[in-house]
Amino acid sequence: MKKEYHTTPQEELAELSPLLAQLKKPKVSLPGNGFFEGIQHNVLAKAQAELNPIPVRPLYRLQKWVALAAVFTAILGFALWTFNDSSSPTTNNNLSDLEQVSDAEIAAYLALNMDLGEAELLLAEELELSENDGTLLLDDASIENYLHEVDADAIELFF
Amino acid sequence: MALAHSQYEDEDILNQFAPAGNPELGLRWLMNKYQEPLYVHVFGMMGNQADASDVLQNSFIKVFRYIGKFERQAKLYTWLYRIATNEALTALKKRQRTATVSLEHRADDADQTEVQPIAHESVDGDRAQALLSAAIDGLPPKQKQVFWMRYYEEKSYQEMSELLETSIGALKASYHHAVKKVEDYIKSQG
Repeated sequence: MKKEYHTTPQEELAELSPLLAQLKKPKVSLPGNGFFEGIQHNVLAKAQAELNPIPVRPLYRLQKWVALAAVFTAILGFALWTFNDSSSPTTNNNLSDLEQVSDAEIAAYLALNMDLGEAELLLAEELELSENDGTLLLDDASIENYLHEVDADAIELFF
Repeated sequence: MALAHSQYEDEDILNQFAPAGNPELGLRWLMNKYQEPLYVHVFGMMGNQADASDVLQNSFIKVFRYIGKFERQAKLYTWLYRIATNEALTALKKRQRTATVSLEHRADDADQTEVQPIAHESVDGDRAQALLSAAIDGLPPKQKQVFWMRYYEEKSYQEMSELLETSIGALKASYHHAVKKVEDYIKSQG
């Protein structure tokens, strides 16, 4: 009759498997010196870290703001650079230089470098602009006065 | 004069984890007292020193983390044993998953489909013992745990039931299955 309760594990095993009961049990040899000390060292180090957590450095907290400031500075720098480029002082200088050039010099330049067709177009364009603008509507007398003011030689050269 | 570690009572150890105590010292005492029996238990499940070491370390860290929740109605050793057992089971399942994945890769090339158990370290002696170790390693994690506790650690079913929170009937069935598997493996290899 099969026993309901076994008194010892050995008796139970002998009944379940005589083969296993005959075998020597595998030996678990305890590890050598330093093994448990190593484990204790690691465990205590982790425990200590949990007991005294290292405070987060302010630098880490500021990191995102520093990054944001860097991006903002870069964008601002780029915008300023673009603005300065489009309204560069070179253009202004050229215009101010042009104001110092006399009418005679302009006329001489045009005489040498512009043909009659271009001169007519320029005059027509200027007149048209004046009419459209509405502020410079000139009558014949005004034109006459203007032509007197302009150097006669230069006009001859021009036409 | 300092007491030998085995002379510390569980009560002394637990008091060190109270607000007025020194938790680091308590942990040191606890490890000194229980590291060896827990190592034997964990080694039986893991089968090698490196894995047993990892499991033991993780177990002690968990003990330290949750000892505040320990209810003193149970024995400290029972609680430690449970934590170590759960850690070992988790590690075994992880290892089995890894082994299965690597085996699937190998099967593509070599058409190998059978998981080979990893033989226990520290087993000296004859071939039968080596076969026994290999057979134990080939058991599913829970059966291996039950087999090791009953066969090697010679624990009573009552104690096993308390430690594993499993009914005695289920433990017996599990152990009998495990014994049969181990025997079959040895016969097939012998």
